[in-house]
Amino acid sequence: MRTIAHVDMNAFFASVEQVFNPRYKGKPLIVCGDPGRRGVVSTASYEARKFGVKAGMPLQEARYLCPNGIYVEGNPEKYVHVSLKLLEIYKNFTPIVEPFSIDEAFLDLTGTVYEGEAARRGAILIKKRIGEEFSLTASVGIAPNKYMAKMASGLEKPDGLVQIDGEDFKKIFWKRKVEELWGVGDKTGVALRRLGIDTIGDLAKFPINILRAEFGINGEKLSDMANGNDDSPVIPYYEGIPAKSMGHEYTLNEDTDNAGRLERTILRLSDQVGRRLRQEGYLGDTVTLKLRNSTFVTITRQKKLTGHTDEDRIIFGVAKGLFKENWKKEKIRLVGVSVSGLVKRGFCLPESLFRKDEKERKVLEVIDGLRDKFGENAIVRAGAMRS
Amino acid sequence: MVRCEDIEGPMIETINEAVEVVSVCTNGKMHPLRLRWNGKVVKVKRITGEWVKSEGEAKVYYYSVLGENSDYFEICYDSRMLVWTLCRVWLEG
Repeated sequence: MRTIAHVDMNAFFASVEQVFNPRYKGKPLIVCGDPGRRGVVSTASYEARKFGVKAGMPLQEARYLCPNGIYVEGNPEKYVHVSLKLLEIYKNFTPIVEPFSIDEAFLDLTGTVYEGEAARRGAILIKKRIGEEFSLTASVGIAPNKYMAKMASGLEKPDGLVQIDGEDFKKIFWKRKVEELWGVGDKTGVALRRLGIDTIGDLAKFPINILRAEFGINGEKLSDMANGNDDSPVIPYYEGIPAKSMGHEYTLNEDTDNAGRLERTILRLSDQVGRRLRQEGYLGDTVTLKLRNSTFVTITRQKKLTGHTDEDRIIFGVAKGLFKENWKKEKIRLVGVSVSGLVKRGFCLPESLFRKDEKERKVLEVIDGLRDKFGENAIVRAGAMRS
Repeated sequence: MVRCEDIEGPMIETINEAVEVVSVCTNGKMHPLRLRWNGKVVKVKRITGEWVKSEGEAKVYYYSVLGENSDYFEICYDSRMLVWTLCRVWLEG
């Protein structure tokens, strides 16, 4: 049997801000984008959560609930710096560490001195080191697989430590609502309830053939989740996890139905996505456009390309086309552009290499070179600059 | 029960001014010790955090520090321009 630990940092961004600036300690702190603009809450400190503020909530709503909260702009470099230091701590316990996100990691303790019953002692030591070195707290879940470990870490927050096995999983979770399963959102929850599935236990015992008919290959996955089955390995940080998609999105200062402004935003986002693809050595074959209107109705539309690309111009062309086809002239709040169907460059060549637009490729190389040397804002497309 | 309206609001100020900083380098790491701002010398009591931001090839090293009166300062060192900047402060009282 494996021993997997899931370490989940508590209110990570807000907690880091409170450690870096002790004046924020004990206060309702809300980490967001530019607090002077619109947007959503990235993380709320536990003091802010008491007022109902939570991650993903529009800032406007957060300000209504907590008008005198402290709203600070998130600083990704700061959090990445701490996250990498945390990885160094985890590596003292096992070499098999999978950074699952900036504030979460899976540790495979199988075969280490912290295997099985000793895992709890290992987790206490990890939490102690995190506390001593960063004054931060984490919730740790320990279980025989990643899925159960992730569910277990959510049981006690903040600063929790829970070790469970398959039997505990059934006892603790089967009576809970099906939406409490990690990976089951509201829409899936509604679809499951239509089948008469209310609890995780109902889902675990539900005939798999019906789930398969209703949800396709995800039907089996849902059944596995409810039963706590998961044989996926912990993928060590040094192997890296291949990206599935790359994208950027932007909440506009104010809702707008100005086509020019929306297209400029799409151009800027396409530019950022292309740059990231090239930096990380990926090519993608599907472009997705996301539009959220002023009533928070969100649509995503995608188009598959005839080949793979990492070029801003091609990404923008497709995204703009999707915009023209799907925008109903209503006011838009948020725009997003992403590219999926990614393959590593080298396994596939960009479509443009087979066409006569080497010039564009060379321009991109020059732009990338300037940005590598002088930073991302060293050069900006003129078309994206007008306000 | 505490109401959110009763809680003291933010008092952090953005400064972004060049400042003089005395620092030492040990084991490949820089530690700011004192900074001069507004004609006053502030002794760094504690470094509460640090991080690095890349701007192209240049690196900017950021430090969150507490002064003697528990005043909070965020300073950064730009390795390309060789300048220290006081980014933000939160002063006691």
